[in-house]
Amino acid sequence: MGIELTGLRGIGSGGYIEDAGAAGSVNIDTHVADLDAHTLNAFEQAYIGTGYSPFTGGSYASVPLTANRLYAEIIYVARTMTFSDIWINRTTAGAGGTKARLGVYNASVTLTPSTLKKDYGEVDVDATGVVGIASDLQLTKGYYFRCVVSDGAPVLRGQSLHMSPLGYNLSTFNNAYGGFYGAHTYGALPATFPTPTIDNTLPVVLLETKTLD
Amino acid sequence: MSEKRVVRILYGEGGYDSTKPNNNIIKQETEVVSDEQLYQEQLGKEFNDYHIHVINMLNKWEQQQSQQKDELLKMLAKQMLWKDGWLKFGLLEE
Repeated sequence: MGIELTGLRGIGSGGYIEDAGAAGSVNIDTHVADLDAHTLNAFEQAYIGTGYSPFTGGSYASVPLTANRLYAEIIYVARTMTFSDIWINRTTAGAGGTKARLGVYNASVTLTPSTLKKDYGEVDVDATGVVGIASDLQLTKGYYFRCVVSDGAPVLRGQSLHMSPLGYNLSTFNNAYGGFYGAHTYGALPATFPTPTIDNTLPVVLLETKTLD
Repeated sequence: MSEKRVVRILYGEGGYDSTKPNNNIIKQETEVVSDEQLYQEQLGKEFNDYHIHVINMLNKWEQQQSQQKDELLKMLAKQMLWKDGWLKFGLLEE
């Protein structure tokens, strides 16, 4: 038995939705403008000079890093924005001389970290406290991963997300997945993220908001 | 006993770089850490150290000598004291 479709609609020239069964038509541009006027995407606005964090942390923890493991936590950016600095919080120092490297990866269509967006360089993690690197990065609308890798085992401030597009762990039901990790021998960040393993609790890497573009 | 501590460091473009002045640190903030905070941090560090020892020993339990198992029991006993926050410095000899 076939299905008969009637009243099919399409977008015609000039951005009009055409409806063969209706007396008139609707201008899609007017509709979008109307939507903008009456709805709000909370993350199209952001306070300047703070750590951008679009997904809410469900619980916070100190995360001991495994050496040579690249950690990546998912974020989304709702509009074009520029970030000034990248930060981590070292709650327990690694052994003397321990370093960590910070960066940002693009997200693939399946929401895994894919290609390298920016390698900021490295910081000392053989002491406690907040440490960052000053360098501008403009991101357009989309998903990204902020990442960290160390050659030692410092402990960083971390979190489990209350919600994320990666969904909940079906075994534990504890918090949403926050991102991934992959094996990477310490050094410059790889152009492509290593084979990712999904993870719940990840070290927090914050990007500091600078401008809404 | 209180101390002044660097709590926030900002590196310039490119991050840590030993070839640049001050390893490329462009901003540094310090704060005074109180005796109480130092004490809490010391407790936290020792508590964490014992956790690491115990996890390592449990992961290799079959290879442990009886003397090492005695040591583990002692660590567990200390950990139990810490759990309630009642272990004070000097209370135990080691």
